[in-house]
Amino acid sequence: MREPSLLQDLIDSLRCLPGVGPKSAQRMAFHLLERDRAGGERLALALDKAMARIGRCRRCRTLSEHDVCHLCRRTDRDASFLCVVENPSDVMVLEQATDYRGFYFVLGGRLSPLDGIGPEELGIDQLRERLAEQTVSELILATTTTVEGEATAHYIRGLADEYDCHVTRIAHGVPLGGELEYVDSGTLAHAFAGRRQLF
Amino acid sequence: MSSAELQPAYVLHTRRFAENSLLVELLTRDCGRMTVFAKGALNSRSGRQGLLQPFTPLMAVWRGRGETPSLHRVEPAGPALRLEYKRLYCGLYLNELLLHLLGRQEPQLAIFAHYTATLSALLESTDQHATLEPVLRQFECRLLEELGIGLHLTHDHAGQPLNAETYYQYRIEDGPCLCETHHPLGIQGATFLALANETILSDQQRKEARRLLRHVLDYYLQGRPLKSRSLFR
Ligand SMILES: [Zn+2]
Repeated sequence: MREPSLLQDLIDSLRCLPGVGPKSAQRMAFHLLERDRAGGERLALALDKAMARIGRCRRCRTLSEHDVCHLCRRTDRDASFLCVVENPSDVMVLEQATDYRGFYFVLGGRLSPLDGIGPEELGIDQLRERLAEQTVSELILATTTTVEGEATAHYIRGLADEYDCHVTRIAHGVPLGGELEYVDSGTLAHAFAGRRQLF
Repeated sequence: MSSAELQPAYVLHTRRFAENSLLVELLTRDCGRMTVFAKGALNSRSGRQGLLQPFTPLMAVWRGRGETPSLHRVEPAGPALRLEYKRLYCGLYLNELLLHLLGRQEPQLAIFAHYTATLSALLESTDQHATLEPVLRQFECRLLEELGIGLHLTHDHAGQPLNAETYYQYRIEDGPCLCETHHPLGIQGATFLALANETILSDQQRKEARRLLRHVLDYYLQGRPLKSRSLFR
């Protein structure tokens, strides 16, 4: 039985981080206490503030400390495009990798009835309100290619049909430089089904 | 229960386990429903994540004893079935039903065959409720039958053959019982007979069959909701 102590408490708390087991939690705790107290205090303060103040943007549901996030408040973006993603991290990735200039909507997951996640849990009502504003002319679905991601895409397409909104799905397929023989069969089937005209 | 040889299976559901592994619910041909542990399946190099998806015919071998053996080998047995839109919701509904009603590791040869046939029927169906619903009703009836809790579809509680024109109220214990024509829970004899013969259902019969199966399934689900129903708006 370990003696309860502040040190042990810190080690146990660090284990909530992904990929951190008992050994690395211990290493992190000792590092902060022995070599970087200032860093540790900064981390504590940042964690404290982030946990208390970061919520969801009222418009796009991404993580934000504001009622409406920075991106949703921008006036230089094109409101006729709305891109639906599963997670806030997807917004960041797309912003870094593409020249997309429209807005986003973050579902916070994907339809997974067997895990108890239905349309209500994904803010579909909020998305419906957004479409009802009639400013979106193209809805871009950037959900994953898993069966659940597909179900999510189909469900949202059904919704968009009610608002006469053009729906597109991001292409999925062979990675750049990828040899076909090393691509898994599911990915290859997707890539094949999503083939397009060469100009 | 180890499987010495590759055996046909479908993934019903996966759950993330620890950092990059999966707990996989399988419907297998010879061992029924199995939960297997797929270590490291989420590592991008494993190539297993794309494969361990519902509606992909697989061949699998697992090893180990107890509740959760390890998935040893898995390979595709054919292309993934590309179910779309409402047909995909139907597929998810089948999986949810099986997870709720099938016990683990009870060999259910016929259920695997029904499941496979139902997926093919969905694949060939259109997105219309008129073609999808009979496929689902047939699967539900066969599933209940295989579980030993099949519906009484041809005779009433007193052992009399059902009359197509007459209305019956269905009681779980007794089967169809005569009721007044406009009874709110009344179902026409013709609907029971159509389900028994697996013939095409009229609009009226479709509604009644849906109500009947819902009533019976809800009883056996003991209050557990079927979330995939919420996809059919
Ligand atoms: Zn926002």
